[in-house]
Amino acid sequence: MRPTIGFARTALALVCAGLISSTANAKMVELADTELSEVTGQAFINLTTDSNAGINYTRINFGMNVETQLNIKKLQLGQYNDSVTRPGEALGSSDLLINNFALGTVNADDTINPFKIANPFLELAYSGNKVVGVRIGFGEAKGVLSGDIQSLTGNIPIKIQGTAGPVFDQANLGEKILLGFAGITRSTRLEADATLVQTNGTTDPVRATHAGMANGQTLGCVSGCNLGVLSDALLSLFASNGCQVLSLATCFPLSNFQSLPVGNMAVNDSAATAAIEGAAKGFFISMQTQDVAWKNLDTDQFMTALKGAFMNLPKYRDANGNMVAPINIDFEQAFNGIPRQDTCLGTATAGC
Amino acid sequence: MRALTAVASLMLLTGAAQAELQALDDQELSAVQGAGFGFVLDGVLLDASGAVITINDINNASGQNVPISVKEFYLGATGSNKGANLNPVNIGRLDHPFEITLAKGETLRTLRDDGQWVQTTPSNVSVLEFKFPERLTGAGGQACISGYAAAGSNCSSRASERVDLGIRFDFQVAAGRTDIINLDFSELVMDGSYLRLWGDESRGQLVGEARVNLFAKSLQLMSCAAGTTNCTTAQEQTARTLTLSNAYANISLGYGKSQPLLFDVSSNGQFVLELPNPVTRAANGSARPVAERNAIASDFYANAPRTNIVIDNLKAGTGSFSTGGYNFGYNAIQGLSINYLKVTSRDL
Repeated sequence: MRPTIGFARTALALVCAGLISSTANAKMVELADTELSEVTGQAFINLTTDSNAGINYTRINFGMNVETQLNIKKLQLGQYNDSVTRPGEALGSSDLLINNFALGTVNADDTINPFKIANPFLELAYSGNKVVGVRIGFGEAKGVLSGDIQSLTGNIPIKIQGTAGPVFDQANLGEKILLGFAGITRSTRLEADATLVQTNGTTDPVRATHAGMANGQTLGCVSGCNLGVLSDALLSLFASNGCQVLSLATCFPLSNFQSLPVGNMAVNDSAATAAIEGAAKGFFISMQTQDVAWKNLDTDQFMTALKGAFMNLPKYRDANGNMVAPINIDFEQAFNGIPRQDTCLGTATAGC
Repeated sequence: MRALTAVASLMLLTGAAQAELQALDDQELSAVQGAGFGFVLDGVLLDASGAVITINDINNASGQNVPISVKEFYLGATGSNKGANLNPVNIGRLDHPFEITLAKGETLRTLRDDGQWVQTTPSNVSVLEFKFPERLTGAGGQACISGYAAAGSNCSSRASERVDLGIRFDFQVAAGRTDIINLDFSELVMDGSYLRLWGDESRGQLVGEARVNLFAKSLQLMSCAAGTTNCTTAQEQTARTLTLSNAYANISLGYGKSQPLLFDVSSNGQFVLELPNPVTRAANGSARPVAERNAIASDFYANAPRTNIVIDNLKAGTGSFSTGGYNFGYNAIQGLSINYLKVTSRDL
């Protein structure tokens, strides 16, 4: 039997003791109405509304700064089979499936490089009185996102830029000669936009497993182009087709890219400001029953998220205000992938 | 308990004389072991369908008030048909009650995801614990969600001790526009949830650890007010409802042994919530050698409770895209472990 009465009696005795000895305590003084009216609550939550193309939006904003380093063994959204909304997809596949997901990294001495978030929000999209979409987003985000990406539905702009050295390393003799005709040397800086694709180079924002150059995309010349504009013109002859430029592979499994920078990591954050310097604005994960346009909080433009579960990694602004892809990799990283950074304390490096 | 009673009686007798109170040293205090008390909620039925609570002073971007009306709250036995047929329910029972206890850290146990009971609180501290009915392993364990084995069979509450719970929020977001959210939980149980608090001598502050377990056969979110335009027939209401079936969440914050949950309020009135890095520095600020860090990390990953959120099926409306609905299928966050977290609020 539990001694509940005894405990209650003891508690009552303690309260009485406190009351009896009240003369020894500092006296509480009530605030006058005028004083009380000066006390304001901390407004760390507000609601904002918006509308676009017949959809009404309500966003609940949280005034918070979050620093974190975390690991998730499995992040899985939208595992369903539907021949109408997901035609041609493998049975059992998911809109979003990332194993060993992590935010932030760990140094060799077990100190932490946190993933920083400011102003997270929850937003609902209404068509009339029907909810057609929900998204969780970060007003600002900066840090390293890691994971073994198995499938991804969404928007992830990728810019590949670097010297042509790794391209030469992959090219055969004939292709090296062609590149030479185009005025390209190993030190020439080339660039290409990449996006979510199928293994045949068709763009594929739904349950994608690969990223790379879509069919028809060409390498661009940034600097060191010995034939100037002619180099670009000659390079445009080598459009990516079937995930190849000449015999160079231009598409890569998403699982090769294991640690991705979000935001401009070259810019140091100032502890003196609530804002996160160099942050990417508009990172979100959403679920919608139809294609829904969500507002990009950086550009104030609406961007369409496809029905189902969707992840958006937005571009961020560089020091000159130019929009930059969140994933900037060189050709070597594109060919070889980006190795996983340590995200675990102690001896483990992933999957903890 | 006897020691506590003696101390209390002594205080009563000496109140008028204002005798000096003698502090117990840590060793004496750690010997205090209250048995605590348990209680069950017998025949509970809450029906606030006629009441409205209005929350003010949450503003929009222009600083204007956005009133939030809270209404249609109910809590009763399962099978209530979203509160339409309310009956009393017993929550907890005498051998598995809600509990408020004062116990030594080494006596408390937490159920790990693999079914093992482990100590998560530090030894030689007195811990104040608020606890929901415990979970059970082995014989006597009940399915936490009926017909869904993945949620485990280690709840102590029987089917008749689950509740139906509902509440409605009206957000008057703009002139002529009110967003409605109706929440209806079916067969909800929170076994194994707890909040543990204790004083951390080296940090000089109150610390704790918390676990919130939610198991529900279904959670429905309807975005219209029943009986209003487009929200009258069952078909219209279904079309405006998100349904989470066989949903559960185990939310874990803190691992008392090496990563207690810290809460604080800054001098400007903002709250700070922190889960410190468990390995880099001892509580006194000194750096730890590699072997010690590795040992703490190994214990942390093996025994610290993790957060899981699983929705076996999530659908909008009928779940069929061709009739305006959508079936989002299975969704899960599994094995979330936080190495470091610091949340600081600020004014918007």
